[in-house]
This record gives sequence, C-alpha cells and structure tokens, in this order.
Amino acid sequence: MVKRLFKNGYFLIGFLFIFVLCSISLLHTFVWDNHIAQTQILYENGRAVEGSPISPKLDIPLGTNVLGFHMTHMISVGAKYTIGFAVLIAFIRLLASMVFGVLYGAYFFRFRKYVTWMVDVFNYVPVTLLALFILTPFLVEVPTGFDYTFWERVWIEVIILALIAVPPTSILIGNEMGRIFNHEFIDGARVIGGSRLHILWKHVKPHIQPQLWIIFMQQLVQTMLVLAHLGFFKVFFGGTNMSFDPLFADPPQSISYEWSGLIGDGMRHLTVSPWVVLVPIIFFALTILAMNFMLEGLKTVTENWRVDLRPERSVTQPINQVSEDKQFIPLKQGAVQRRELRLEHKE
Amino acid sequence: MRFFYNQVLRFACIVIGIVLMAGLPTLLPSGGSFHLNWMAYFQSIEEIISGLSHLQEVTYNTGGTERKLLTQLMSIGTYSVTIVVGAILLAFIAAAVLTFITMLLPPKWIRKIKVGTFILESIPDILIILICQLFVVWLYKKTGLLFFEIASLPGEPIYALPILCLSILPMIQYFKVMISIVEGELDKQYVELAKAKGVLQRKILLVHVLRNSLASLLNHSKTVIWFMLSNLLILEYIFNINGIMRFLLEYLNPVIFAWSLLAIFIPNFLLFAIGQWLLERSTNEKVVM
Repeated sequence: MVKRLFKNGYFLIGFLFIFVLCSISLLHTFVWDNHIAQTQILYENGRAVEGSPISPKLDIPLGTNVLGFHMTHMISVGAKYTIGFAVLIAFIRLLASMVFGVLYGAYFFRFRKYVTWMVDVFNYVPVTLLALFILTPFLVEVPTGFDYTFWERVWIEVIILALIAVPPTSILIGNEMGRIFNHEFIDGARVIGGSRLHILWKHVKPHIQPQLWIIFMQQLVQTMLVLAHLGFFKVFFGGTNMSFDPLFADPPQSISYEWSGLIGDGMRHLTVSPWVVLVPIIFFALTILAMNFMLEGLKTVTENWRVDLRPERSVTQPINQVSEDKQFIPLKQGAVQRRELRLEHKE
Repeated sequence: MRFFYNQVLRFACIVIGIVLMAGLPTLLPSGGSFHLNWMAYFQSIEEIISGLSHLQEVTYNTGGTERKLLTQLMSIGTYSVTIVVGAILLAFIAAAVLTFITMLLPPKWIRKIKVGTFILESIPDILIILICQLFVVWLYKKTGLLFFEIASLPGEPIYALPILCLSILPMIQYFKVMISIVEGELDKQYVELAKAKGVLQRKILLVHVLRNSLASLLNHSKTVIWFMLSNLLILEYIFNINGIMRFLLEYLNPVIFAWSLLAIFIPNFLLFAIGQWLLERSTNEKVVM
C-alpha cells in the first residue's frame, strides 16, 4: 500500500512539500543553529531607504517583521514546531477516538440514534470558539503571571486541543465500524463461533484501517486550521506573554517562532505592512493544501485497494478447511483440482 | 407525531450538551494543580441552569456597569443571524447557478473545474477574509471607489461585504457537493428515460435533478453551517462587527456562553427541522439527521 501511495501523484506532491519543509526546518536548528538574520534599516548607496518592517525584496524574499527579523528564517525555524505539534495532536485524537469508537461501534451501536444526538452539540459549536473558551485561562498571562510552567502549558494545550475533537471523531469511527459489522461476512464469522473480539481483530480491522488513515489526515488539517485561528486571536502555542507595563506595553509575544504566534504578532500591522501577517497565513494555507493533497491520494489508493482485497479474502480460507468428501460435487472433476492447485500455488 | 417527538428529544439532547459544555472551564484544573474540580463543575452547571431559566435577570459587566443580557442578545443576535442567513442563501444560489453552468460544459472541462475547486476549498478562511478586506482597500486606493464599507462603527452596521466574504467558502463547498450529487443523479435511469423522450438537458437539470438532490443537500448543509460559524468568528473580529461571536469572545463566562450558543443554535435548528419536514412530505427522500 505504501508503494502505491508514493506512485500516486497527489500524495507524492503533498508529501514532498511537507517533507522538504520539515527537513529545512530541522537543518536550520541543527546545522545553522537557529540563526535569524536581522535587517533593521535598508541602505542603498549609503542612504537609508527603508526601515523595518521591510517589504519583500529580491534578497529579503518575504520581507521582515517589525523588529527587522527576516520572515523566511522565522518561518523555517517555526515549521517543525507547528507541523510537529499538529501531527501529535491529530495522533492523540485518533488514538482516543479509536478507543471510544470501538466501544461504541462494537457494543453500543444499538443506541446509535441517542449517542449521535448527544454528540450533535459539536456540530453547532465552532471548534475554535470552544478551544478559546477553554484555553484562555491557561494560556493568556494575567498580571500575576502564569500558573503553569511553559512545558505544562504546552501539554495542557495539546491534550485539550486533542480531546475537544474526540467525541465527533469517535462517532465517525464508530459508525464506520457499525457499518462493517452489518456486512454478511460478519454474520458468517459469528455463526462459525468467532467471539466479538476475534471478529473485531480479524474481520473488521482490515476494513477499518484505511479509513483510520483518512480520518487521521482530516484531523491533521483541522488541527492546523485551529492552530492558525488561535494564533489569530493572540492565543499562542505554549502561552501568550502579555506585558502589563502601563506606559510602554509591549505587544503580545510568541515564545518560539511557531507559525500561529507569527500571525498574532503581525496582526496590528495588517494595513501598513500586510506581508507580516500574510506570509505565515500563506504558509499555513500551503501546508494545509499539501495535507489535502495527501488526503486525496490516500482516498484514491484505498478505494482501489479495497476492490483488490475482496476476492482473495473471501475465497481462500473456507475451501482449504473443508475436507474432500464434504465439498460440492463438481460438474467437471478437473475444475476443482485446478482451483486447489492454484490456491496452493498462491500460498 | 413521531417526527415531532424525535425533534423535541433531539433538541433536548443538544441543550443538555450545551449546558455541559459551558461548564467545562471550571472543571479543568486551575491555580497550578492538576486535579479536576468536579464540585466546582456541578456548581457552575447549577448556575448555568438557573441562568437559563431566568433570562430576564442575567446581566453582564462592561467597564463597571451591569447590563441586561437579553436586550443585547436580541440586537446582536438578529444582526449575526441576518449575516449568516444572507451568506448561506447567497452561497447556495451562486453554487446552484455555477453547477448548472458547469454541467452543460464538456466533461474535460468539468474535470479541470473539479481540481480547481479542490484547491480553492483548501484555502483557510482567515486568508480569504483578509484578502477580501485588503482587496477592497487596495481598490479604493487605486480608483477612489469604495464599493463596500470595510469596517463597522457603532450604530452603523454593515451588510454587503461581510455577507459576500462569508459566502465564498460555503459556496465552494456547496459547489463541490452539488457537482458530485448531480453527477450521481445523472447516472440514474430516470434521466436516461427523460433523455430518450427528448427532454432538454437544461430542463432535466432544473426540474428533475434539482428536486431529487435537495435532500442530500440539506444533509450536507449542517456541515456547511458549522463551518460558517467558525468563519463568522474570524469575520466579526476582522471587520470589527459587533456581533454575537465577538460578544462571546469578550465575555467568556459560562452563562453567557450557553445563552449565546443557544441564540445561534435555535434558529438553525428550526430551519433544519422545517426543511426536513417539508422535504419528507413533498419528496420520497429520507433525510438522516
């Protein structure tokens, strides 16, 4: 399946983009030691022509922010944090939803209607709003300072962002499982005497696995969107440093060069120097597009994959186990032998 | 009767869900500890329920003065709902017209258009809304024409630009879904029969396919509206609109959170319930909610 994925154009484009971005970001930290160039005033023939924020030029491709730091470098350093944490959050979402989804799909699918209604709230509350509502007390500094240390805040944010999407995702996985449980081959397995766990592992798992990958990619895209939104509302990853100096209050600062922080930092300069905000947002957009490409590739590959899988699975097992004399009486004696020969050859 | 009973039950489930959700911030640990405060959670749920049952007495605090929530909620709520409903209607109609035009094109073009919508759909809402605002400002600088008011001032609500901005992404989503639904419908036998009888492609699309795809569209509308509410949050923030989402953000308090969510949810719910009822009566399609 992996081989086929990389032969799919969409998946390859998406994967390459994210792979290159992450590699550059890691190189930036380990080889260039997080160096971020700073140009506060641009000179031309000895005369100052532009002060920071400097608009995009040929040698400063994406311009600089208010303090003169180059956007290109900040984006490159921040990429690994944003993408890394998004992957982590999406992964926790998937794992937790798998547990609840299996419980619901395998054991409580009878109460489908009521469970769906209970979780329906999540269809009327924007995720960003819920995240802001829950996370603001943890992440925005009050005059007395933060209650938690930096890493505690990061973990709280990761866990909360993961958990708020678990109920709807569990329902999604559960419904998919319930659908598979209603197939005829499950009845067959049950009649032969397979326990529910056995059926789950041997018969449902192979069908649900590709779906899980698709759900993972969808969650990844959603997480990226939520991170962008949170940065937009100045709730940065790992907390927002507020300055409470009554005379010279500094703008809210992001702690690392994480992308959502970059968006929030630049919001005040939107009308004067739009590139400070637009650059991180465009990178968010490109990454999300790349993830969607991967998702699309995954979808096409899994669709074809399932079609190939089916005949093999339904034919091989039963025939080998039935003894010779109990088999159907074939119309032509040779036909069965040929069939068995072919099967042995395959195994 | 059964339909009515089901809808009431569904409504009750969601209201309970909103109450439970509004209490969440008090449940979570605070003040440096890592324990869940169940006691505080139950207390805040009690508070929310009493707040829900006495709407007239709920107040909020702006700069030291207490104000009634109800009057505020009525004015900003109607404004936000107007924008949302306007945007969704615009998105729906625009998408329908685009779909109609697209389906009359040759298949090679349709495939290209599909890839295009796929890419457009991936653009985050922040980018689209920001670009809309910057574009209007740029246009004004270049030509001196101000087509729309770009920021709202107290007492002067703006409608045109927010509705337009809010409708872009839902339009793309609707368009994508409509194309796939219509393509599915066109493969069905009644279309072949109609073609064989010599009905024009235009008429098949407008009369038969449209009617038959309404049920799936209504199903899909739920996702679109959920997505739009998220957009609305960003939109009200950027355009400085005094709407319900901005109000919510300013006063992150459980009772206000619960009431504002209900104010958004109730019109939505009614719209869907009526739509579902009408559709199930007039067509044979079943709407799964």
